[in-house]
Amino acid sequence: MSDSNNSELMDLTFKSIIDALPCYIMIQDQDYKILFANQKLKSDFGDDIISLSCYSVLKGSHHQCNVCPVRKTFKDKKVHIIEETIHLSDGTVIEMIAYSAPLFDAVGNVRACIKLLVNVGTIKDTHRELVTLGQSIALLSHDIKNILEGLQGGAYVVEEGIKDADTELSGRGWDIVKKNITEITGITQNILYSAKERKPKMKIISPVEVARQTGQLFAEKASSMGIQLLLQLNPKVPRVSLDPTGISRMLGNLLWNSLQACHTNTEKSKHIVYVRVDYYDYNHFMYEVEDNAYGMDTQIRKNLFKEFFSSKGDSGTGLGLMVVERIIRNHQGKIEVLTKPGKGSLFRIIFRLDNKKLDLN
Amino acid sequence: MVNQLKYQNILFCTDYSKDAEVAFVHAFDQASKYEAKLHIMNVILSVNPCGIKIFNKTLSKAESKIESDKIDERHSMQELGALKKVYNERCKDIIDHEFIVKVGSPDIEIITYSEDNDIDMIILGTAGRPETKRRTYVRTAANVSKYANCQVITIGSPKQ
Repeated sequence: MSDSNNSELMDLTFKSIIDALPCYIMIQDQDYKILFANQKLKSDFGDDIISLSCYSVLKGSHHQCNVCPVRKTFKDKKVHIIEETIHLSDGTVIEMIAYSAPLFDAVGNVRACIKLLVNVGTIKDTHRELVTLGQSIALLSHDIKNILEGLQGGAYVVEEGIKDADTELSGRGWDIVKKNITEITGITQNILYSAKERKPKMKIISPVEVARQTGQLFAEKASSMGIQLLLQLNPKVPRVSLDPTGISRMLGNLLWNSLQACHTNTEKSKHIVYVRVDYYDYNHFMYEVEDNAYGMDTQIRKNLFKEFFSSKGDSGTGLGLMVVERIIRNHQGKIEVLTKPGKGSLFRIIFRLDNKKLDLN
Repeated sequence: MVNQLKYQNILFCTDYSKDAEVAFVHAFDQASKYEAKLHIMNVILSVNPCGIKIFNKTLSKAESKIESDKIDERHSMQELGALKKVYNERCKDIIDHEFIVKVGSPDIEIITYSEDNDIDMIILGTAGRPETKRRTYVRTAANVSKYANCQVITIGSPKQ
């Protein structure tokens, strides 16, 4: 076999290897134009990406990225590594690690850059889940121990009441038992959501009906806490595709937070918690849970959705809002918060009415 | 004794409704009286409030991933033109005024802007547009009144 045949074979072999690699490989010039793309990149972004700019293909943007490893490589001739978020044409967003390395010409100038992108989304998700799981176990062991002690205390009071034929004392003990059962039920349900990524089981349901049922679950509790629970539901909001269990949990967590905030707020004599369902605009609807408790200061507001952050001290695990945030993310929704110290808080969750992919055409 | 009130920044929010028109008269009066800067603001809703990526079929594949931000930016520029057209002439007697268009939920955007720009007073219409022309069902006036950190005046137009 001749040298030229050998060389061609080698070229073909290299190309096959590069095409078969489960990552994106491209070569870019100084204007960020793609000179070469491997098959994986072409199959995800189209065969016509050669000579297009990297940022238009990977980000759908008309502007250069603020942080660009290729720019750095052209500047200092070194290898650079950064994390990038890439938008696939079907709307999926993936987290990737991007490596850029220089390709030199004969006199040592950077002629082009080779960029390699590896999907690290799955690894990061697993990492996050493991961290969450570890934190969950450590923190919840402490909380569950407290609740069990509360249950034992309640049971003791009930027993004393029975022993003395004191129904009032038994009633008080039973209230303690019920309160702790509620706490442990809530925590257990939140663990189920936070301990692992749970795929929503979507069904065509009425968002109003979910809110009504969740409100009914909390009506007695609100009444026993001396809080007025008002449901303001627009029956015209149509049925949509939602995970009823998730939405009920989300509303339940927000509602329970509001009820607890009102219960511990001694500054006001009358407390009201609203649950609303209404249109947000023509294409979206919203849930709102609003209370007139003590509201939140800037610090609490900033940390609201951080894992295991709680403003309730020993009586909160911080799991509730974390679960709320996760359910909203799973539904591709958005949460907004209005709050003012001394006035109260409003949590608004916006969802699309049609869960199909948004298309402007 | 009540301290003399001094307003330096007044925010007027409009959705071009009847109530907003009445509110503008008050905002104009207050800005003139206190020689305050009048911030004239309209909040438009995002085409994509949940931030889902938008896919547009008419464009080529490489160009297809149009971010909703860009569409919002375009709408925002158009709206700024409309806002100036309606209020520029009427504000010529107020030396210091500014037009602002924000994209998002009106109550959140109004409150955030008021906090970021040291607004002393917010003036807005109570009811907004009639049901059929309504763009959002967010209770803007009620929420701004409750959650803003400055004085808020909501004004309804007198009954016909």
